[in-house]
Amino acid sequence: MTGDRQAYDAIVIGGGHNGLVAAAYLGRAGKRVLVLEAGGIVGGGALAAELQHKYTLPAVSHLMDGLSASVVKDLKLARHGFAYAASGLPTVALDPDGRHLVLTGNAKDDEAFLSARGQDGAKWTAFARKLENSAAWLSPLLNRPPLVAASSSARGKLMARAVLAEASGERAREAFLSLAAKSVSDWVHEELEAPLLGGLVAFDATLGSTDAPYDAGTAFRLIYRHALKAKSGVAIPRGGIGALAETLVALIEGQRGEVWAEARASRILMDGTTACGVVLDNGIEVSAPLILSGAAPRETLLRLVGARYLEADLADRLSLGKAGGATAKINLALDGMPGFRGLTPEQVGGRIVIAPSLDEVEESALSARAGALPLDPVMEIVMPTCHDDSLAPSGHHIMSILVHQVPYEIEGGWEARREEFVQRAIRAVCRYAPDATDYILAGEVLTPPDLETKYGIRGGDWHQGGLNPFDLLGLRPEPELAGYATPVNGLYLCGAGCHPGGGVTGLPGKFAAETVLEAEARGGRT
Amino acid sequence: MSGGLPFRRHLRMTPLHAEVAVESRTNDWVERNGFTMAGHLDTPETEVFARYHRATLADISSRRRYRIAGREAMDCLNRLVTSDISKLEEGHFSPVFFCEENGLLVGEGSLARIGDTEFRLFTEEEVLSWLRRNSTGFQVHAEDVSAEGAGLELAGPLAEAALDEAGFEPLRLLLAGHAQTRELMGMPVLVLRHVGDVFEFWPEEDDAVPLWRHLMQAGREAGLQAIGEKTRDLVRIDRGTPRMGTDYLGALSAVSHDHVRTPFEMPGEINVDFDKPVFNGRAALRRMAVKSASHRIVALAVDDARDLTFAVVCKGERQVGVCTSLTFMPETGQHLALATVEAAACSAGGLTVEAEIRRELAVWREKLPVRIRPRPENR
Ligand SMILES: Cc1cc2nc3c(=O)[nH]c(=O)nc-3n(C[C@H](O)[C@H](O)[C@H](O)COP(=O)(O)OP(=O)(O)OC[C@H]3O[C@@H](n4cnc5c(N)ncnc54)[C@H](O)[C@@H]3O)c2cc1C
Repeated sequence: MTGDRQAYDAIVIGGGHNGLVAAAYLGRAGKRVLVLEAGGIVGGGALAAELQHKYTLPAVSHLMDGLSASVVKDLKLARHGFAYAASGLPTVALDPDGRHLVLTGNAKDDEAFLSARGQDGAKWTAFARKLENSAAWLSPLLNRPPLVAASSSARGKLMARAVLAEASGERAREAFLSLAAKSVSDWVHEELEAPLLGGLVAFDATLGSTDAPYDAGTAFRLIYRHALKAKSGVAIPRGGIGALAETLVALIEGQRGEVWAEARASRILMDGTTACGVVLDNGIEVSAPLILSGAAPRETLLRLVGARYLEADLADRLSLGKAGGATAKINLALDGMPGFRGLTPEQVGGRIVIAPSLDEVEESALSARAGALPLDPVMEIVMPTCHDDSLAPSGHHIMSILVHQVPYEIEGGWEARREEFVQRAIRAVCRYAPDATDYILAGEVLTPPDLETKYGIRGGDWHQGGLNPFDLLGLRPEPELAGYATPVNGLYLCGAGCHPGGGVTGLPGKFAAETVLEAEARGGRT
Repeated sequence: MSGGLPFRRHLRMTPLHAEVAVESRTNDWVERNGFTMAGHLDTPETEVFARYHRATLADISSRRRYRIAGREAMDCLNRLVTSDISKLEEGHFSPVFFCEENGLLVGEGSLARIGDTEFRLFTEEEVLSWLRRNSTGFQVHAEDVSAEGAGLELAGPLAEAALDEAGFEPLRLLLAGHAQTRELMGMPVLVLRHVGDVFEFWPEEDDAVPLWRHLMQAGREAGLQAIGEKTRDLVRIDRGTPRMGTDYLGALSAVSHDHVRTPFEMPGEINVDFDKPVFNGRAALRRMAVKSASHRIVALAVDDARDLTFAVVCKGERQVGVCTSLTFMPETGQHLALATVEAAACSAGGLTVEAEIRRELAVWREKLPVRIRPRPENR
């Protein structure tokens, strides 16, 4: 870091993938951008952590299924070396009795596979088609910035304007309205019988939230996630999940931009009511006429700017938003491949889900809500080394376990319960891969509070804020912030707290940068 | 409050209740903010005469008072209200309005700057939770001090004379808009002077009764008369000043937005300062400012001395407004009212009210012409 008060065209707070994407779009437009990342490594929720200088762990996120093709194309990421080690990965739903289900996403194959096992073959096809159709009308809305209303008055009216107005056609609206209030359990009970499928669907519908499958709005979440899926399906980048951030950093530096790690913004400098720079926690000040923040909206506006610069209602609504983290990570370094009973090596390289039934997902959600550890945790397991042997020494493997429904605040405190949590999670894995413990060399455990302190993910929250139908589109994160601009002149939001939400998509970053550039082209800044 | 059930209704008495009760010849009581207050203490004619030609004293302890103090009290309050109070000097007070994010009024009152970092806010309605919500992010503390002390209002053309008699001559020099703590009979009393010779005294609780007695006694010479809420209300209606909770509802308590008003719909000078970069409702009010308001609160007069009431304001056959405050002015034999009327209907004349007229037990309806009265400063 050099000198006080360096001048840049734009400063991006937060080197999560969205901040980096925003910076790269601005850099592409000729701006000199400075990215400030609080942590030692950039990437935010999509970063690679080194373990013992030998293992490249997917520290937080471990799969990419929604990276926007338009971002890849606009930024020419492939030309800069970004590629998938594997894509279109199958989903494997583990069955306690060994009758696992493998879904490829190909309707014919899946129906044949399920029918052969007497597991809802035709029903699943019908269900999947309905999901596909519902996602089809939502998807265009997620792939462009939302319509924004002028004021935050009357949420109902806004909902009509911001959400329904976008859903073109009577049928789409009907579909949205009927689904917005529905729970995924209702949907599953209406259409599916096989417990494993119910468990899988409930898992996907609630992942990344504290919702339980019986909660209203979870059917919509399932559609939402599906609508954000990229054509490449479930994928793993070559070089690990951090490859995206690394590619973006190289790109930004090639555009004369700078990326500073270990540079925590402690305050946004104001000139009257215009943002004009950033003070780092080490006292260094940097200035720029444009500030974008990829940190969570609440963090940005209440802590970095300060409630005084906002109208009280907005400050109030931002401060009420509860931290929604309910996901934990366990990353293990293994000196061999554990034997998953009943799975082929190819299937072990897929997305492995342990969620035997909808009721088990419900149960773990309820215990998490009560601040307790679920007896039988539900989880998603990925072994990236099946596709990329550069991530670990030869013959060694990485097992990335994403444990769903883990409370942020736990009874007795995380200090005392951490060991028990790990034991339970590993025991659950061993039910399917009994020898897994024999291979464990080292590992790291990240509870929701750990994700916050270690990787800057507020509240350990997947989406930087809620993701029910009333937190989306022109209502995300708040109606007056939905257009990426804020009431503070010169300050924009660009993280997952904005439309279209969390996951490694790059879309919030892209839309924010485009909004900035459009506003500039129009001659105004807000 | 005593230890009864939380939902049991308690009528509370102000520290001055016993003194006021002594003056009552009518046994007419009303409720204000949970307090039992005098309606009329004497005949309306006597009270109104005293208020307009002599001097009156009233118990105003039911008004809500808030203490807002802290290093950033001014910043916090300046975001709260629509006017710019950074110019409010120590020892002064000013009328304030405050809005929520849609530019709808949440509250109104008088804001007094007691010290560099200490303010008092006087309001009709409860606003503590709103103040607290507005305190986030500021070094400020807001508390309800309504239960501390009491309030007295000395008013009328001979109010100054009454002050002289009481030995409070220096208060004559207090200018309208000032709010200062003075030593009266050895007691610290916050004194506010409003236009139109209205003095408010805010003594500590134990000092309230001695001050009341002293003023009552000294003022007899000047024809000082104790009055109740109804005459104070008459003066308010005569002056064309709407009151929240009566003439319109606060945005946080109203169920329907139809009953909520914006600053632009209030009578008189519009108290919104857009030069101030951040304040609650600014964005919405700015959008509103370019359009004309749909409704207005106006002062009405019906020149008819019969015993009558009315609520509906019409233009031709169509209802265009609702009357929310009504009083009879014995001095002129007029009915005075405040009403919310469609702005478009306010310009040309032709307004009527649907009056119910009584004579002993007979009641009948008549359409009576009504006129919009200019604001007092223009009269
Ligand atoms: C446990 C877990 C597992 C997940 N798994 C997946 C997955 O497998 N696939 C998937 O697609 N998504 C996954 N997600 C979601 C995904 O990680 C996030 O939605 C995504 O990372 C959001 O990206 P972002 O750039 O908007 O924000 P973030 O990645 O949160 O980045 C914000 C960045 O800002 C930095 N920052 C914050 N405050 C400051 C400050 N004051 N100064 C400087 N820097 C600051 C932070 O350090 C951080 O690097 C997971 C989330 C969690 C919590």
